[in-house]
Amino acid sequence: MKDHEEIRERLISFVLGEFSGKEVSEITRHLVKCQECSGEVKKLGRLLECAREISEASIDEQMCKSAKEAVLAVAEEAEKTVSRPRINIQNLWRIIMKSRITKLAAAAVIIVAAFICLSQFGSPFESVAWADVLENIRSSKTLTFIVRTTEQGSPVMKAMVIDPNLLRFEYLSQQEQAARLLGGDVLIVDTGKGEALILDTVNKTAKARPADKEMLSIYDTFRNFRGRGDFTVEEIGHRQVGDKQAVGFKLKKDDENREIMVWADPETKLPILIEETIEDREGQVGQFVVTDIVFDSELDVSLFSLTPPEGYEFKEIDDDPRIAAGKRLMSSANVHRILMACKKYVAEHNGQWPDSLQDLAEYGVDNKILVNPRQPALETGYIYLKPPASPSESRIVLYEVYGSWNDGINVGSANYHVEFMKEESDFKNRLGEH
Amino acid sequence: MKKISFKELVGRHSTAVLNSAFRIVGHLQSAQDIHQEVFLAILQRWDKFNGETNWGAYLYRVTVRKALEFVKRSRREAALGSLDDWAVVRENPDGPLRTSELQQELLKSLSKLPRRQADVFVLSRIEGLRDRQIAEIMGCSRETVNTHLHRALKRLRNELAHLL
Repeated sequence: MKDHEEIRERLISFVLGEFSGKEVSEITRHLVKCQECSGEVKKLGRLLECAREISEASIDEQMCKSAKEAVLAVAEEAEKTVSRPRINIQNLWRIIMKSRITKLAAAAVIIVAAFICLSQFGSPFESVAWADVLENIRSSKTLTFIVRTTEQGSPVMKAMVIDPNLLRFEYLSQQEQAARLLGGDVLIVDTGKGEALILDTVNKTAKARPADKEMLSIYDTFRNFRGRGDFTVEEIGHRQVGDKQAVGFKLKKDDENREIMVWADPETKLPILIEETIEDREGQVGQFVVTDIVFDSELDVSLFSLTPPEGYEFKEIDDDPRIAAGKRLMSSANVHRILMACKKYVAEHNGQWPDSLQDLAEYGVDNKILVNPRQPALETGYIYLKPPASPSESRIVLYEVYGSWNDGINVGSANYHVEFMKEESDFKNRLGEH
Repeated sequence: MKKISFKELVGRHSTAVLNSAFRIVGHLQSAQDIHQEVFLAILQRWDKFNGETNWGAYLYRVTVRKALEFVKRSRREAALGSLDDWAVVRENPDGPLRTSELQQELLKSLSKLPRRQADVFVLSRIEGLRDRQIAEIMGCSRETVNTHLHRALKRLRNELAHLL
C-alpha cells in the first residue's frame, strides 16, 4: 500500500517523461497490477494527448500573410504619424491630417503659448503691457497665421481659426505635392460637430472623417490660455522685423529640445514673428517660422464649411487606420471562409461550383459571414462569380462590393486564396480575362 | 545589439503569434484580433524596447496571456463553443482538427488556472517548448517551471475528471 501511495504521487512526473529507465520500470510494474494507477495514467495521458492535438492546429499560409500585411499596413500608417517628428512642413501637415497634435503646438499653439508664458512670468519689458495683450487675445474671436520652415523650397501653409470650434489649414504652395503625398491640401475641422473634411483641390476630391478629440486642445489653449506655463522666458532685446522695431522674448522648456522666439510689436502689443527651433530625435535641427499673425480679422465662415465644394467627389473614410485595417482583415477572413465552403461544395459536387452564395448555407456560410464589415449596410457585401468546372487558379470567383475603390478590395480566386488588390486596373484586367 | 525594425519583427514572428493565439482561442477572427493587438501594443511602445529584447520569448508570453484572457472573457458568452473555424480554415491534408468537447473544456479550464500555471502548461504542452525556453520566457528557474506544470496538470485532471 505504501508503494501504491508513493507511486501515485509520482504519476504526473511519469506521464511527463521525467523519469529514467529504472524508475519507469518500477512504475510500469506497479501499473500492471494496480488498476487505479493505470486508470490515472490513462486519464493524464488523455489530457496530454488532447493538448497535443490542439498543438497541431495551424492557420494556412495565406491567412498568416494577410494578417501580417494588415499589421504592417497599420504600422505604416502609424509610423507616418507618430514615430519621427521630422522637421519639415509636410510632416507638420501630416501630423495635422492624422490628428496627432504633438507638434502642432509648434505652429498653432505657440502663439498663444508665448503670451501665456509671458503673462505668467511677467514681462521684463515694461513698455509692453502684457495684461492688455492678454485681454485682447481673450476677447479675440479669430486667428490667422502663415507657417513655413526655413528649409529651402519648403511649402507654405496658412492656418485660420474661428473661436471656439472652427479650424482650417491649407497649403499656399505645392498643393499638388501635398495632394499626392498626403491625400489633400486643405483640412477643415469643426470640433463642435466632431467632424473634419480633407480637400484635395488638385483632383477635386473631398474626404470626411471624425474630428479627433486632440484637436480640441487648440481651442482650449486658445480660449483659456492654460497649461503652457512651464516655459522659462527671457528678454532678448530688439530686432527689426519689416518696418517695426520688435521686442524679442525667448521661451524654452528644460526637457524639450526646442526654443521659441517671439518678436512682438511694442505698439500693438501683438506678436509679428515667431520662430521655433526644434532638434528632433535624430539630431536634425529645423526651424518653423510663423508670420502674418492676425487676431480678430474678419474670416469668411463658408471657408469652414464641412460640405464639400461644388464639383468635388465626396468620399467618407474611416478615421482610424487601425479600424480600417481591422475591417479589411475581418472581411478577408469572410472571403476565406466562403472560399473554404466553396472548396467543400466543389469536392462534393463533382467539381461543380455553387450557383450562388446561398447554396453554401449548409457549408457554414450564414448571413453574418456575407456581411462585409467594410460595407456593413449591405446584406451581402460580396459578389460571387460562378466559374466553370476546373477553372484556372487565378480566376476571380469572389470579391468585395465596392462603391469607390479607395485603398483596394479583398478578392478570392479559384485556388481558394484571398488577396488584397490595391490597383483597380489590375483587378479589372483579371476580371476581363474570364 | 542593433534593434530590429518593426517590419522585421512582424516578418519574423507574425506567423508564430497568429498560430499561438489560434491554438488557444480556436477561432480565426479572434486569433487575428489578438495578433493585431499584440503587435500594435508593441508598436505603441516601440521606443521603450531596445536591441536586447528577446522577442521570441516576449511575444510568446504576451500572446499566450492575451489569448487566455480572451478565453476567460468569452467563456461566459460561450464564444469558445464555436470552434468551427478550426475545421474551416485549417488546410491539413489529414483532415480537420477534431474539435472535441474535451479540447474545448481543456481550454476553458486552462483559462481558470492561476496565471503562471496556465502559461507554463500552454507553453509546454501546446506550444511544445522545452523547460529551459519556458524558464527564459517566464523569467524563472526550470524547477519553478516544473512545479507550475505539475500543479497545472493536477488541477486540470481534477477539473476535467468527468470527461477523461
